[in-house]
This record gives sequence, C-alpha cells and structure tokens, in this order.
Amino acid sequence: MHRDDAAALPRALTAGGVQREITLHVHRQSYARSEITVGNLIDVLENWVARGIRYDESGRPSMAHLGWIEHGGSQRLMRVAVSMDDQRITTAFADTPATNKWNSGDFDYFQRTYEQWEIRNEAESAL
Amino acid sequence: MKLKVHYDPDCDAIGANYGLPRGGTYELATVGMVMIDVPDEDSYEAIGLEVFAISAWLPLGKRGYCEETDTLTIGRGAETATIIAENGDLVAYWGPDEYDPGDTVPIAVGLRNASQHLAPVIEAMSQPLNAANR
Repeated sequence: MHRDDAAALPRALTAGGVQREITLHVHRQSYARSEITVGNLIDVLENWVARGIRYDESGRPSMAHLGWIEHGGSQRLMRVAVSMDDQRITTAFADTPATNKWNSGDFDYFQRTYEQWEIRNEAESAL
Repeated sequence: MKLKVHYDPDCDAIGANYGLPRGGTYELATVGMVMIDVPDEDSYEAIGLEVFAISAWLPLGKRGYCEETDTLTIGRGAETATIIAENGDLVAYWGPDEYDPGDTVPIAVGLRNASQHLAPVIEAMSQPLNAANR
C-alpha cells in the first residue's frame, strides 16, 4: 500500500512561520492514514481550534494541536502532535473521540485528557 | 493478512497495521499516546496500532507480556472489558467510559505473536540511536 501523496511528504514543513521536521514515524504512519498530507498538517498547525499537552506512558509530553479537516466525507478533528521544543511533528490522525466529544459539547473530556488545555478565542466564540 | 510493524527510535514509537482501509482512530482511555485504528467508527476491531513510549513495554517481559500466549497487552483493565474484538494478531478491549458510562471506549490492546512482530524492534532498540531502522 503506497500512496503518492504520502510518498511526497517532505522531511520538513513550514507552518505559521515555524519549520518542523516530519519524523520517520509520521512518514510511515502516512501510508495507513490518508489524512496525513502536507496540506492537512499545515492547516491544523496554523488554524488549530484547541491545543493541550498530552503525556505518553514514560511521562514524555507533546503538544497536541486539534484542527478541523475534511476527511472521509465529513468534518473531523485532526490531532497533530509536536515535540515540546516545537521542532518535530511526532504523530497525526483524525481523532475520533475528540471529534465526537467536541460535537456533543463534552469539553470536560478535553480538560481531563490534556494539560494546559486552551481553546482559541475564535473557536470559543463560535461554540 | 500480514501485520507490518515499523519502529522509530527517535520517537520511541512503533506503528503496526494490516494495510486495510481505515475509518477512525481512538486513543486508549487508560494510556496516553497509544492509538488503535479501526475500519469504521462503528467497528471495535483494531486494524492498526500506534504506541509511543514503546520502551516502557520492551524488551518483552518488562510489563504487560504473557510468555505463555506470547501476547503483549498494553493498557489497563483488559480483564474488565465488556467487548473483546479479535482481528488476527490484534485484540482490542473495550469497556464503559468511566465518565460517560453510556459510551464505550478502548481500554487496552493485545498484540499476539509479540515476540515475532517485535523482534526487529527489540533488536533495533539495542542499537545506538539514529543507527537503528534507517
């Protein structure tokens, strides 16, 4: 399974004036996750509606940006995680629980899931 | 149907998938940055797996590994699962959302034939960083 747009992912991209490396892991995940495109990554990093810090099992934090994308015929919240030094994109995916919780107005979910959770002013005023 | 596994030492992460069309991704409710891919959002079967902090579970035997069944289980509360969805070597465990009991969330995931699937990862982990898997 090999997609041309996945193969075309560059080693780095610039979004919002910040250049970040696209990790080998993201390159490989892009073969299974069709939403991982340069356009979507840049769009989420520039136009995120909310973000917060998420920890892995070793306690390593990453900054998760959530932004809306068109995927599979509907609007989904895509999570794009970057390292805390803002140098590397570490994972990305259309986040099913986040989409469902946002659409149902369950914002406690995000407060529980993320540290330093923040919603962008424009997104908040649109709720 | 073969499970393809990749490892990125710089991210301390693995990805595994059957290369099947995917409809959604869920993070485990019990462990941060462990995700399963499902074929559609109404399905419980895992067709892909993504694990950050994989070094927390490897080498096998560190935690979550059953040598008898050669299965690595990541997550908490698999024994309390109300839905167990088996799909080849991936087993997804689902249970009620503790904050919203009407909702069902993934709580753990099992990887069968773990020693086979993860052998290249374990070998690469023993190599110097940046030299592995390049």
